[in-house]
Amino acid sequence: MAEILQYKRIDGVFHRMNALTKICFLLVVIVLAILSTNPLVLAGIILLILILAVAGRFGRELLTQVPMLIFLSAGLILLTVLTMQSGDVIGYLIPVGMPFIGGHIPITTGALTFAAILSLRFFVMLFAFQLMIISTQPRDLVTALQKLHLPVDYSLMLLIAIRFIPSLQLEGKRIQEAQRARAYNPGGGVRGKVKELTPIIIPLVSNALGKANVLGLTIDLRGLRTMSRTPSLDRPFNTPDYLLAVLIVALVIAGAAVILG
Amino acid sequence: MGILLAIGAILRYLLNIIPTAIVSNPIIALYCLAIILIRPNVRDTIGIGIVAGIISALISHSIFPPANLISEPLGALVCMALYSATRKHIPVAPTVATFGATLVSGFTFIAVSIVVIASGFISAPGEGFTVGTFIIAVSPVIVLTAIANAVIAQVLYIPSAKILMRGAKGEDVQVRPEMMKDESEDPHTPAFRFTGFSYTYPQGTKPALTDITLTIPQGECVLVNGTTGAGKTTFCLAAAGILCHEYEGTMNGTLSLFGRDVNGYEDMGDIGRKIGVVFDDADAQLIFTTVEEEILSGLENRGLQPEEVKTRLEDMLAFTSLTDLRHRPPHTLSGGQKQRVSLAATLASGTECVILDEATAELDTAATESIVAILAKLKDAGKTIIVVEQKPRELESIADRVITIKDGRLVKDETAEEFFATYIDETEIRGEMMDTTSIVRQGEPRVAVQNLVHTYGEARALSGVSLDIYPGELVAIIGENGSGKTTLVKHFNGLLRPTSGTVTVCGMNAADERVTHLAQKAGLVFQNPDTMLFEDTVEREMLFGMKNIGIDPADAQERIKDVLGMVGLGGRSSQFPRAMSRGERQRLAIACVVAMKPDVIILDEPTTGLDPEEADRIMDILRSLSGAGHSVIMVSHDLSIVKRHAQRIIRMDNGIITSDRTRINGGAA
Repeated sequence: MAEILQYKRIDGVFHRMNALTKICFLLVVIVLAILSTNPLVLAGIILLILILAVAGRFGRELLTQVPMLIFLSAGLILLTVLTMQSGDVIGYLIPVGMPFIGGHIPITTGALTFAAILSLRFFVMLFAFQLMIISTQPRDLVTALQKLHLPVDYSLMLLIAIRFIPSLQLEGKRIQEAQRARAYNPGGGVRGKVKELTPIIIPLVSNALGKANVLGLTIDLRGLRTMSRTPSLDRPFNTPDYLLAVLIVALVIAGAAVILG
Repeated sequence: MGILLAIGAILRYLLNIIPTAIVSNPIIALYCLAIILIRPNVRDTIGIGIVAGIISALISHSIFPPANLISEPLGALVCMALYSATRKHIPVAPTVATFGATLVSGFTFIAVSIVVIASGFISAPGEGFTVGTFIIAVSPVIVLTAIANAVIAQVLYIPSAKILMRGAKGEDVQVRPEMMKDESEDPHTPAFRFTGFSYTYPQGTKPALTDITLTIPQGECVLVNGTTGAGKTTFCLAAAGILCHEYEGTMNGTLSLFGRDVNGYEDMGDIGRKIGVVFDDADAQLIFTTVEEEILSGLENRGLQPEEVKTRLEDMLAFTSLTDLRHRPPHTLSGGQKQRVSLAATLASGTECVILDEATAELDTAATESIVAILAKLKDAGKTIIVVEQKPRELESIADRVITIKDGRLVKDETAEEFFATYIDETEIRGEMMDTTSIVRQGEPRVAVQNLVHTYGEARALSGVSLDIYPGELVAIIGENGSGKTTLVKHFNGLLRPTSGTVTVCGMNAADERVTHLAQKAGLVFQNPDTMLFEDTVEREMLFGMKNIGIDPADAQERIKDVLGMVGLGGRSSQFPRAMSRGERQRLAIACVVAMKPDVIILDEPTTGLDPEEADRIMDILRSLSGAGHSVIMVSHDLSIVKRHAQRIIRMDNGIITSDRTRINGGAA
């Protein structure tokens, strides 16, 4: 999960856009991803986002997430195969050749297709969200959300959740090291991951609560809850915004055409 | 709240990897915990649910992620309602509230998904899909998730509630004193006027501040002195109006800020126009994602013209020497840099007074000097400054006045000249220092490092370090932040592996051994004890490490008794670790490692954030450990404490050892 959900300072076309345009793009992409059950359409949207990310000069940032996402998808496919039988059987999770237990847990085309759709949809949503977060300063995001009439407290809550993800990742790593230095070995695999949670999550949550107190006081003392910003610092709508708006309209039309048949 | 959601998001994302993790949803568990802890109103509860819904939707790989936008606000409301209804009647109210919230959230999610599938909005998952089979298939999952979440929330609630100091005793109690006459129009009005001011925390049995009467004129720089737990931080919280506006508890006496009664201020935002506070936790004060944005957030809230905002931004960056770091995200900055940013962001709000609560506690000499230089400029600009500092000498050049707090009482109020005239600097231990390489050693070293190189990506943190450490040595590794000290010692217990070179610990090649194996020979105490403490009693905390290395339970009990006595925590085995003072937690962290009886004990900044008395207590423990034959290695940026206690001092700079000197014929001062 390294480097996920962080603003990156890059001199790129997306960074110069107004946050509202990017929010619209995110919403349209999410709706299309949810409505589409065609893996090719979803793959096409992923490709489009990657092209846009390359144009915005942060393609590498998105691609670094791919190994983790593939890993997540593998788990999802396994889970779907275990719980869903639909369509033709193309093999068995436990090969037929194995004595006594062979030929169990069929792998069906329906399960694979469904898992592929869910995985690709997950890729689309996370990439689209990343595209917005990497290229939008949180201050601009908060202002845009306020223009969409989201109360400032809610916007700040979202901002803080996003801002603290990398800090808490580092904190989690430190806690994990501290417990390993006490010879803690929860073992590998699923069981190990679950056992590892208690000695890590309790200090992580406790330390976060300690931070929350200071954070809340800082927000109040700096008057951030009023967020009465100097208005003319807002990023104006420029050519890239209009180009993305055209793309959004094109996506809506194409999506409607595909979905309506 | 946002912080808890961030943890929930991280865990939710990571748990996606584990198929069995369908039985827990940390986002729900943690927003329920937040609701239980802060008990928000309906509007804020819905807000929590909406934000949780947005985050869940974006990292969910379920059939219809936007359903989270409906299910999570509903779950949040149910949590609030159930907790409000049960908290005074049953001890497991957090369990009940979280269980109910997860059930409602889960079944709402399913109901919304079914509606969108039935309406043809999205396709059904598979050919054989029916509503009945779908509900039958997912119901057990939701119930199991609810059970898992309830357990998580209840387990986390106990330490969390203690940390937030909420509980039945003293809850929702605040006695506010009478309002004082408004003198804010008078230009000569003092910045602070305390009159018979006392305060008791909600769970406190005695006042944290007692009968404080004090006037601080505008433009004065006041140093607040006192031992750990004396009440210095509470004094700062009072001066900033935080106790009155944000904390529960009992208050007596009066307090005026810039001529206006503290109760006369509308809220903390109103006080924030006059007073800025820089806390010791630098990271928690940085809200935005770049240095520039952090400072702009203060400037943009002052109603200035855009051009003026830009000019003042440049001025502030230059004033705080942050121009080169303007585009850096906070989590990539050093402690000193973070504190400079939070000071800059505070100053950007244009306050007339700045309060610094141990803001330099974790900083090295250079970083502290840079903060003091900024404070000197502020003083010249006529700002009022209140500083809490464990090392008074560092502020001698700017302090006008020193007040000393002891047991919550103001026991001394003197000019800086008077204070420093009688202030005694700690003395260095006796003995001649000589180059370690010229000393002939007997026997094998416990730690042997040869040409160690370590790189993080393309950055070289260690560039060919070689050293030997022998039994019974008390070694201090000193250097500025980023000099490679911590990177070096993390090789001794396998947390880091060499890029090249060798590290041998007790005859084992540290590059090949597992951390859990090396931990039996080389124990590491981290800088912040809260990084490791997670159990609900001191005894269990100590047992954790010993259990990991297979110590017999009867033997473990004996060791707990001995080691707790050694670190001065005898008879405290049933206490909740996080309720102890910072110094006591640090001693407990050391005890946890010492109980595992490693030959080598490594401590990363063991005295950071402690007052001189507590720091000396820690150092006495380390000296007795080295006297007992352990090789004790401490990383520190505090040269004064090192000079007073260490027998050998290794100085590092830019990833290399620049000097390695050992005291001969020495003794304690």
